[in-house]
Amino acid sequence: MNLSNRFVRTASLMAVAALMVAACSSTAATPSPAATAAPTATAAPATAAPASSAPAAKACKIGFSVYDMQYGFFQDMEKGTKEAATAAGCEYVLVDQKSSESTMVSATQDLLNQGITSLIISPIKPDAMGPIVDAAHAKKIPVVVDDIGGGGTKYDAIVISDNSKGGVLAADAMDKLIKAKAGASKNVASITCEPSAVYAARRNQGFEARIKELGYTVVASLSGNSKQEEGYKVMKDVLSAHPDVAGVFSCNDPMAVGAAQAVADAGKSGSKDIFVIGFNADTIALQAIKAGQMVATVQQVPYEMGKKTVDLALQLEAGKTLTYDNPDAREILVPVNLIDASNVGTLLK
Amino acid sequence: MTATTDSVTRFDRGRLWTRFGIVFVLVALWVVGVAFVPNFANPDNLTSILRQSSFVGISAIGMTMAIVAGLFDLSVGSTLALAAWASVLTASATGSPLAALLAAVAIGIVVGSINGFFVTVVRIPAFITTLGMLFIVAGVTLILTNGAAARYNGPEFIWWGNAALGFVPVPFAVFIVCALAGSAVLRFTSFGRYLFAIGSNAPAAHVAGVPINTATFLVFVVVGIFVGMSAMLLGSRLYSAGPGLEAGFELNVIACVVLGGTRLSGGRGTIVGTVAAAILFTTLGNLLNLLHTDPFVQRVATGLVLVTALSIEGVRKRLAERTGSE
Amino acid sequence: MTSMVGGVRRLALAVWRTYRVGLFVVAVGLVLSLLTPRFLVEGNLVNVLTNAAVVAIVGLGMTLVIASGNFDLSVGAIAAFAGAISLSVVPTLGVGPGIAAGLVAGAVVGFVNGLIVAELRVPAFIATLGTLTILRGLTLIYTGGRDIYLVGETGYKILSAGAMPVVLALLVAAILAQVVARTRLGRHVLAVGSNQAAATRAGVRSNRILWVVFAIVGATAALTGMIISAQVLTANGRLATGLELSAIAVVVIGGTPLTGGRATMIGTLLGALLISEINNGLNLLNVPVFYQSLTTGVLLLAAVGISTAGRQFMKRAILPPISRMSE
Repeated sequence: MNLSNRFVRTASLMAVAALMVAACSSTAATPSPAATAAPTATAAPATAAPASSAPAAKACKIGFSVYDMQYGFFQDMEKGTKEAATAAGCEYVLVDQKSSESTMVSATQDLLNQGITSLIISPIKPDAMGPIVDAAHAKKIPVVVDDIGGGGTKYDAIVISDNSKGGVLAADAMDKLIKAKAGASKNVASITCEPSAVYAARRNQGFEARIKELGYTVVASLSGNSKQEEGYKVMKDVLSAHPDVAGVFSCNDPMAVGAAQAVADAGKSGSKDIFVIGFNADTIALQAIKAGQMVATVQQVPYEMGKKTVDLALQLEAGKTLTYDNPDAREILVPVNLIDASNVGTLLK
Repeated sequence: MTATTDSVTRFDRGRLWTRFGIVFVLVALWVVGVAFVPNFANPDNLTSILRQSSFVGISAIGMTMAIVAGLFDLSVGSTLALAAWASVLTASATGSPLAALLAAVAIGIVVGSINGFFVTVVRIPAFITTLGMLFIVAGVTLILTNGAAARYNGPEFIWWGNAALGFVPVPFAVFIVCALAGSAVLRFTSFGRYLFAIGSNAPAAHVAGVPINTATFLVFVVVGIFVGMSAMLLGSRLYSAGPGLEAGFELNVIACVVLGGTRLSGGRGTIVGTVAAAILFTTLGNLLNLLHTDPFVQRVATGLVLVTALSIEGVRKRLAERTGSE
Repeated sequence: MTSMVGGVRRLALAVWRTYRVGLFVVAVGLVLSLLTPRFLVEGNLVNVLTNAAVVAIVGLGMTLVIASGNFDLSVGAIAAFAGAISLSVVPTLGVGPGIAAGLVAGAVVGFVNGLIVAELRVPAFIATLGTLTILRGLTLIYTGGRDIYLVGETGYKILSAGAMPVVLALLVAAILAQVVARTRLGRHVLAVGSNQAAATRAGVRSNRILWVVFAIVGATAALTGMIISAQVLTANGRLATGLELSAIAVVVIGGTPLTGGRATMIGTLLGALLISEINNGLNLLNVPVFYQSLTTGVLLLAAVGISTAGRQFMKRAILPPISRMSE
């Protein structure tokens, strides 16, 4: 009896211990924000403002609520945000929404409750940002949105890639490639992200509208749910239904790389026979372009966007007014570029 | 003689642990949090935890009743999204939170009735029926919404998800009222007794004259009603709702119920445990955030806590058997 | 005479039980080939079979787990984990050791699931829900959240090239069907699935059976994961999300009851084929993805509903005459 009793106590302690161990191990396993922010904050006076004791002016603490750290795109964005925050001598705190909208709201609330001075958010569902923006503004904390979309909420600024223009860019590039290739058909395909990603859908809408204008037929517009393996499967089916398809545009790079593999399985090249173009400039896509497996991708610059948001947040903290590219939506547009074999080398280190 | 009393107390302690162990773990976690974790004891933070625990929690109350009867409802994830969308849409059309609630609950009842129909009339096992409905309702939601979320931020509507009565968030107040109601139904009504009887031993319950079909059908409707309430509050909390809302919600709800001490095969369960488990899960996520734990490590920690907490009872039983047999 | 009629009827019942899903497969195939000329084409059929095989392999393992009266929700996470282990090993040790490493990783992780379920007595549904989360986290930590991309390493493609996935699926099906039908292990799995307490009393070492069953499903999940990784030459922490529900769906559509104690590997193969066929058809017809989830659900209810109704009908219309005749 004593034994089992003691065991219960030990076991319940173990449950708590498991949590604590996990919590502590994080600091060792990965560069936890707290661990890296602290030394940088103390180092800041030496590097950033050598002459004066800058931190005394006003302590800044930047909170970043990220979409989902499972994706390389957001890891790059986080890196840019963190580096800019620490370089400015600010404390930095991160939470991960893990692709869940209620986690987005509650985890961001966790940030607000830790006394941050600026909120940067890359929202999984922009439409659900309303309560966060309201809560932040109630505490006089400025809100800068990084990419995805604003969801019609009252954020202070949004840094966003021109998704639709990126799609147009891809269409123009594909048109050029197809025209230069003898005997190519006028049939192209479009692979979309998951149906609920309405902002990313603008990429495919931009692409499809432009390519139709140029006289092509979009023979298939199917969703690969943003997943690489589904991009592969969808492209296999597209090739079955339309063996003469001349090019394919994909809403993100993982699916584009998947589609390129399907093209390769059919014994063709994604850079010479069937033109595969993606979106993001993720590392795997750059590698695929270099290897000639796909032809191009529309580059977004998440690292730069992360840095930009910190800059904007600090300006807002200082009470400055921002200059917007599109004042109605408080948008600051980040240009998108086309990356192909000619310039991929500059991005791949 | 002494041996008998001894074994009786041992039994009771075991049962006490099985039923309320999770409450002790929750209390321990809060004590640790308050003592050691910066910002945890911040009233805003505690309010935020209670609010966040309510959305899964309210659905978990309905699910507790279903699992007590040995039934499963996997369709709640998709139902949540459809009901929340309907609720936000209704609110934006009428401005009335009551109409929004009714819309959400109506969706819950419809889906619950379809589940109940397939389980009791067509006689497809609950797991398969609700797995099918998980896919079907998700598809229907996508088709109806065309992928886009509905949005509405009228002050009367968003009050329900975002306001607080003193330190008590409104959704949490609703959660507690639902828990009391659910507890009362399970304990004091014949419906509640039927659920326990069906979950313990369905053939015996049948012989004893329990209306199995009626009770089974009703419990799916009840699950739908609770999910409808979760959905309306979540739509209000987020000012919006659309397809794909809260992917994996069904598994979170079931995990809460089981972590709360309800036996997965039915016949045993308490609402108190479910409530504690819902708060525990949210607290865990909150603590990991406040400790700035790496997001990847957070997943491992959450899974470990789940498995460890659930192992306790089995290991305790094994030890009890071993000492008993000696 | 009566015994012959009875025999024919019993045979009809057995054929119906095993191949009813096959009837669906044929019917759907006919409809699709009428709707689009691109369906009944060699290249496309290879697609359909390959997609079916990928889910079927893990589905076959899942069939065994379900026959033992359990569930495994962690298969998607195991697939990603094994894919990552495998692909990370390939550049240094080569393709063969890479595949072996993936299989071992899957089996070991499955074995741990078995230990948790059998020894710690955590219900499998919830235990594997926990290990799902843990494994996703571990895979993300292992890969640093990045993609492992085997650009240029085409030797690994052997797992997904041509008819290989189909061959592997048939092989796994044949082995597991033999195990269930002819070995003591198989009999014991079914005994544990029917009634674990009774099986244990009868001398079956139920716990060990569960270790083995979970290790097997772990290995099949790993194989599926590696085939997916070979298809796209990539591994990461997000690979194969949601695979668990697809796997359970094909098992159920195939006719293995969730109550345990019975298993049909052919049914699972056919179930996977049916879903793959329909999803392919919808893509060929350029039907929006919205409808895929809907049709999977309807199919699930229809297949199980019709088979339940069919069984009731068979029992009423065919079995009573048999029993009357034998009286």
